[in-house]
Amino acid sequence: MSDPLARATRALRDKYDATARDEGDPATRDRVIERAVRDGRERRIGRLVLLPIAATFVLFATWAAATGRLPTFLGGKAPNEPTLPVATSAATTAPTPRASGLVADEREPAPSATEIPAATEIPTPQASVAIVHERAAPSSSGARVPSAPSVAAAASHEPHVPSPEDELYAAAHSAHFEQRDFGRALAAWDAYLAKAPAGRFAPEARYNRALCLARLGRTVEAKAALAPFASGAMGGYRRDEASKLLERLGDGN
Amino acid sequence: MKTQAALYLTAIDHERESLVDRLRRGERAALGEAFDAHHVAVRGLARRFVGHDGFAEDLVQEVFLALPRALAAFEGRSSLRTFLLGMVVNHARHHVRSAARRRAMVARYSEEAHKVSLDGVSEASRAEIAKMLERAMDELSIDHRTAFVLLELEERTSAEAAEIVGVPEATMRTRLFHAKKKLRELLTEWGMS
Repeated sequence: MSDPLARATRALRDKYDATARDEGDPATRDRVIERAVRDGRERRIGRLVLLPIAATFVLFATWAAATGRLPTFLGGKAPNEPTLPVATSAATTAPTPRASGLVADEREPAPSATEIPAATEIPTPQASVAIVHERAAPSSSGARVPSAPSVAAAASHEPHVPSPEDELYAAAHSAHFEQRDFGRALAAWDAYLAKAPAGRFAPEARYNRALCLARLGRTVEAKAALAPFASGAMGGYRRDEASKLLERLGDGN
Repeated sequence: MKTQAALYLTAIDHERESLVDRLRRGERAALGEAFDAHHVAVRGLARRFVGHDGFAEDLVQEVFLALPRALAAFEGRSSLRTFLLGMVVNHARHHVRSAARRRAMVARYSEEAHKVSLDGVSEASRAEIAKMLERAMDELSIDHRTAFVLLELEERTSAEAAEIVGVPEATMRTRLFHAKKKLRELLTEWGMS
């Protein structure tokens, strides 16, 4: 008896050989051509519809990014949109007497908008807004400046109970930048720094404290407070601003 | 004579290249030409592979429909026909599964319906033996099935089969060895001797 597999293979081969030249279903060719044509047409239509939409979207996104409106469209606030009520109110407030000849616009953490060309973002705790996380923005010297979150940022996160340190920071910020009571602000910054000497906003609090000292005419103390920033002891943090302010304080002293 | 052969080969190459190029561009006529030139070979392999005319016809259609896009990966190292046969192997998996399920179902219902002598002489016996082998092939892995179909049923050389599948010849021969071993065991188990 021969190998059963060989016999079975021969039988199966014969079965298929009998239909080797079979043309199959004549409709198959037509179906293939028809489907190919339809697929090609659908792809072309898809390209005609989708490409303009994609191009419009890209152009819009580019325009929004170039004009600074992208965060707004993404659900946030535009960078040039004021995040603090104080920013608006301070802009309309009459200039206050300058200490030691400083021209400091306290809307910004930098002591003077005219003296320090590149205004940088500062911690901006809202009076009743929880400080959720540290938001860093590049300073003019390239260092990262920690800042408190805005309302939009807070709204985008889960509710957060502010810590005592955060509340102290918010109070100091309010006294300094909203009420412009530099004496009280100085005490508040000291309170914050006493509570959180290594807190996440401590460097900015020290810098603001130095601004308060300068505002109050305590130039020697202000210069001492600014020196670590200007010397780079804090890295690049507020270095340029502190150096320029020290120059001005030196003139006035 | 040599020049004529060279010219002929150049013409063939040119023709092949131009057909491939036209297919890549999605030319409807080119797809028709490719179908006319290769559908018999493609269908033959599809039938042997799947073991069912209806599913094989679906596979043929699927392969030719996928051809224009698949040609993006065609480097011209093999003939268009070899490329198409490779596509049959690559696209056959789910058609084989469907056909195997159908065969298993039919086998269950017809097991006791008619008993045919497996002497291999009568037409009925040969048809039954062929069916039995098809069912046994359903027990193979797709790689072993491919090796058996290409090397045994289509009687291709291991070089051809290896080119179609895209594996070394030795791999094809090893797969065939294991496929035949398994098939032999199954056929014996099912009463063939």
